[in-house]
Parts: sequence; structure tokens; C-alpha cells
Amino acid sequence: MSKYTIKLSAEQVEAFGRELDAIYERERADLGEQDLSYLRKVMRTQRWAGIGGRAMLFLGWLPPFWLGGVALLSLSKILDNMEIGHNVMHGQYDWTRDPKLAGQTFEWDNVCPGDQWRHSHNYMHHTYTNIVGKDRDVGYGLLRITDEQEWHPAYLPQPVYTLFLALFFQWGVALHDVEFDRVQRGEKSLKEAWVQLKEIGAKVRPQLLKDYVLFPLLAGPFFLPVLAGNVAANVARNVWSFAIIFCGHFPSGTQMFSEAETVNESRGQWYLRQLLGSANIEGGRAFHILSGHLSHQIEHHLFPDLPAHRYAKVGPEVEAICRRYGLPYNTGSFGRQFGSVVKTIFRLSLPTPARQSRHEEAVSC
Amino acid sequence: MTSNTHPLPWQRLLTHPLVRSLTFPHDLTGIMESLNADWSLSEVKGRLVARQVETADAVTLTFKVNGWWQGHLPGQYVELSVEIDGVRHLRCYSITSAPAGRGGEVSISVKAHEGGRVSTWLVREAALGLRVRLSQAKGDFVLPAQADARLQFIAGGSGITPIWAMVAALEASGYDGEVGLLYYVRQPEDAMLAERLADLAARWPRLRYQLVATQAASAEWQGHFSKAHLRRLWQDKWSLPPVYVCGPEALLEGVRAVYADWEADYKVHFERFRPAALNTESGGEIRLSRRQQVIAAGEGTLLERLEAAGVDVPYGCRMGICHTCECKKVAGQVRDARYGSVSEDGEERIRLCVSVPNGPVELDI
Repeated sequence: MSKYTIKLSAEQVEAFGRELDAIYERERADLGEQDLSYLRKVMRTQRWAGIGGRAMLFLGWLPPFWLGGVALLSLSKILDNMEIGHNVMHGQYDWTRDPKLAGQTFEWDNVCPGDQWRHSHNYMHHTYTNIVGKDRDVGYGLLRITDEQEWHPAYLPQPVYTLFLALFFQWGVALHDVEFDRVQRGEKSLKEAWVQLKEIGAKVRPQLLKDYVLFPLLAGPFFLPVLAGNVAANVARNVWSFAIIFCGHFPSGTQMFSEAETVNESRGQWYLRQLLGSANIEGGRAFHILSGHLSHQIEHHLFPDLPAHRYAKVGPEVEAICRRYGLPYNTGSFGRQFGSVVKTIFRLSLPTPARQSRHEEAVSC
Repeated sequence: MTSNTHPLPWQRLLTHPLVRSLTFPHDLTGIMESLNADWSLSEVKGRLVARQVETADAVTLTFKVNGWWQGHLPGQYVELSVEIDGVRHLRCYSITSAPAGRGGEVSISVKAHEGGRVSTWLVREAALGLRVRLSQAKGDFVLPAQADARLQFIAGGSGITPIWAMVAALEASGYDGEVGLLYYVRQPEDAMLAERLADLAARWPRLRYQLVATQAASAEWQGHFSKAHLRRLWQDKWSLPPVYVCGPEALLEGVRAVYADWEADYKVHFERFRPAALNTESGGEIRLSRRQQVIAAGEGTLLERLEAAGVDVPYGCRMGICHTCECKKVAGQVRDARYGSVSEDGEERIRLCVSVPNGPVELDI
């Protein structure tokens, strides 16, 4: 990952922060019926795609129905997890005061319990974004994804780990907050981990029952296409969400930070770290919706609790502000962003020296 | 096909565990509401079918309710949930219609309070077809089980609403006692349900009804409630019947004062409407409803004040991003420490780390 030397004074950093604050306040004041009706439209699509997909799978012994069923069910799960689940759980719709859209209690069609996701993602990842050693999304305790991490022979097969992580991504997400490596090092008690594993079990059981037992049973003698279709839909969601998420903070140009350099961060410096640590993906409207607007990772990290569909609107404004301050705005096609992540995974699987993060100029000025 | 306003036993299967397993982690609500907006798993929903202008700033709204409505007793109120520009607002209104069962009609009479967001919207903007949610009927401001020989009602302003329901119910049930009703308004044109009251008084000899305009220059009856008014209403048939009072705080105080003078045994029933009061003082006291604890007035955000008082609450980023510290505010106003915006009075979810009390506040902790 290349490093930028940014020449901004402390006042300029705070001015940058204030301009972003102004965007947030303006958008928040504008929230209203159009945001809620947009979400409702997405939820309706998710619901009927799910019903349609599952219905088609009952006729899944006919290949066109199986393919159509898997496509619709995958779409349903992807919308549920990304444009709806991830965004609602961020509290993006708390302002509606609809208890069914309350971020703290919302659940998604995923083996990961909402509470653990809220802890590991909303709190840990968004507060300590890209701080090596604090943000567990850096490598997921499994991969060497940035030069700041020390190489170890266990990283050699990491392209294979990545493939498995992609195929079974929802399980990786589910176990993410248990922090097995910290348990192993004695930093976290087995008891605490066990409580979490029980919570995960309580979420896993009904998910497995639904997709791999009940719906197949309902199909009677034609259970096999239904079972296979549900597996395929889950895998499709896993791979898609993995790809989008990995493009969020790992493409070339994104920057990592050390704990030392982020101590006593001001608001402007926090915004700067969120910007420098995130990368966008270019695409059309459908692509943005399917990615849960994580294609606008920069805007999402600047304004996590703003309804995500507004990121497309504020994106050009944010980019203009960055340009004015001489700051990088990392964006590229899906091919380019994801390609650079894959290259990095292969490159860092091999022994290379660990790099010290050099950000004093940018962040602690 | 007639709408599903009368849930039959088979429809209670909607919440059966097997059904929930198939829709996990969501429930059937989404699908039901997509098929018919009046349907729900258990919530009472209403659709505005009639709108009658009462005064320059009051209307009677009649809702057709779905099959979950369980009826009400005259004098009770309902908690109405209405969505205005994407946001749900909850307000209580006394029911003015006669009791109706499932699929029947429920009427409320709303007066637009100055600065009242919901009352003003309901009076000026609510259009036929509007869909609302309703609680089941609440309140114990109801007629006695055993009818007394005489009942006295005293109403002020919009306080006439529950009292109208009770008086109309007495007439409809063939009550054979005597009923007195004193209705206080500022000007005669402020009287809500005036025509109905006049009609009822005209056709029901048991009712002694007097409308008193406290600010009208040349009226026969002058000023606020007093012993003299009671005497004049009943004339030679004077006695102390059980009293039902509903209206502004000043009226309630006036009635209490007058009745306190009499040492005779009497029963006075009060019903309070609590309008929101704007409070601009900061740092108010914090009441914790679950812990039964009160934290004295002081400086700082709610999170800081709670921690200083030794109350441990979950927190995360401490900067308003992750929503970990979010909890329910039961009453009072808070100010956003970042943007200075002041919240509404009443129940809503807030983030403790960025909220400063604006006057006394009650939290569900």
C-alpha cells in the first residue's frame, strides 16, 4: 500500500471536519418520508424475492427454476444482509421511531447474532477503523492483509484461507466477535467466549433449521433441489458480501494506522482516518443497492448512521472537499479494487518485512 | 373478499412457532401488510373514514379499526401512533364514539394545540384513508359499575371529549338518574362537540347542561367554576353527587379547591391531559425509572452524569457513532452535545454519550 504525505495544518484538519459535519447535519435535518419509503421498497423487494425464490426452488428439479430460484433467493439474502440489515443495525433508521427498525434490536438473515455484530462492527470496527492491533477487521485474525503485520509461515496458504472465508463468510462473521486468537493468548477468558458461542448457537440453530431442514421437508420427495438451492443462495451471499467488504479497506491506496499515532484524536483527525482508511467502488445504481451502498465505503465511514442511500448523493460533495484539501479519494472499478486486494493477499503470503506506519504528518499534526 | 377485520381461530396460527421458523428472524407482519394494509399480527390498525370539523381548530376523526380492537368503556382513551414525514408519533386521545367491537369505528376529537406537532397535523393535514396504529383502550376514568342516583360532570376545553362519551353512554343505556354537565371554554366558538351536546340536552330531560364562556363579555353565566355555578345548575335539587372532571390543570385545581371547602363526603374523579411544556434550562435532574434513583442536576452528557453517579451503562465509541449506549428516554428533553439540536419531549431512544439533559429527564434504566 502506498503512503501519502499529507501537508495539512491542525486548523485545516479541523476545518475539513467541520465541512463534513455540515453535510451530516444538513442531511439529517432532511430525513423524512422519502427515506422511509425507499427502505420499505427495498424490504418489499427482499421479501417477495425470497418468497418467489423459495417457491421456484420447489420446482427446482427443472434447471431453469432452480437457477431462477437461487438467483431470487440470493438477491433476497443479499438485500436482507446488506442494504437492510447492516444499515438498519447502524441505527440509520432509528429516527423513524419504528420499533421494528430500531438498530439495537434488529436481526438479519445470517448466522451472526445481531448483538455481536453490533459490538464487533458498529463499535469496534467503526471506532478503531484500520488501527492495526485494534480493528479486528484488519485481517480478521486470519490473514496478513497489510504490510504492517509481521509475516509468519502460517500465512503462506492464505489464498486458500481466503477462498474458504469467502465461501463460508457468514460463519466467519458469526465467529468474528469471539476473538479466538485473544483467547489463545490468554487475553480473553474462555468463559466469556463460551457465553458468546452459546449466543451464536441460538442464532445458528433456527437459521440451519429454516434453510436446511424445514424448507427441504416442505418439498417432500423433491427436497434435494431445495436443499441445494438454499446452500447455493447462502454461498452466493457469502461470496458477494465478502468481495464487497474486502474492497472496503484493503485496495491499494488505503492506509493503516498504529495505536500510538491515533491517541487523543480530534474530530477532524477521526474523519481523516476514516477517509484515508476507506475505498469506494464505482458502479451503477443497482450495483450500489446490491452492495448495501458499501460501494460508498468512504461516505459510510464518515457518516455511519446516515441512511445509506444518501451516500450516492453526498459522494460528489465529499470528493470535492477532499480535492480542495489535497486529500486522496480512493475509488475505482470493482475489477481494479478487488484485483488489488487479491494481489495483496498473494504478495503478503510471502515473507516481506513488516513496515512501520508513517502517519505522523497526516494525523497527529 | 371482505377485509380481514375479524381474526378467526385459524388466523391465530399466524404466530405459530412453525410459521416463525420459516420466516426467521422476521415474522409474517411484512407479508401480511403487503397483502392488506389493515392486517397485522396483533396490532390494532385504523383507517380514517370520516372527518368532521368541530371548531376552527378542532376536528373529529373517525377510524375504522381492524379485528384486533377489543372495544372500550366510555371515558377511556387510546394511544394513537401516526407517521408524519417518516417519523412515528404517539399521542393519547379520549374516545368520543360509542363502544364498538372488532371491525367497528373509533372516533377521537382533536384540538390543534399551539406548537403541537401532532395535533396540528391531525387537524390540518390528516386526509381520508390515513392509516394509524392504536393501542387497546386505556384509562380508568370511567363510569361507576353501580349507577349513582346523580352524576356531575365538569369539563374544560378539550376535556369535554371523555365526558361527552360518558354522558352519551348514559343516555344510550337508559340511565334513570340525574346528570349535570358544566362545560367551560374561553369563547363560545371554542366549544367542541357543541352541536351534539345541545342536541342531547334538548332531547334528554335528565341532562342539565350549561356551556360557560369564561371570557365572553355579556354572558349569562360568568367566570370560572364555582359553587355558585353548581347551585345554579341544580337550583332547588341541590346535593353533592360524584364528580367527573377533565380539563386544563387550572380547572382541576379550581374544582379541587371548591370541593375541599365542603366537608361532606364526595367522590371526585380527575382525568388529566398533559400538554408538552418547553423547557430551556439545562443540566436538569435525571430520574432512573427502573432503579428508582434520582441523580441531582449537574454538568455534562448523560453518560458522564450516570458514570459520575456510579451507574454503569454500556458504552462504545463515546462519540455518537456506534449506538452502544443507546437507551430509552421516557420523558423530558435532551440536547445533542455535538449539534445543539433539542429533542422532543416524551418517549424516544437516545444516545447517552452525546445527549445533555435540557431540564429534568427520565430514563428507562
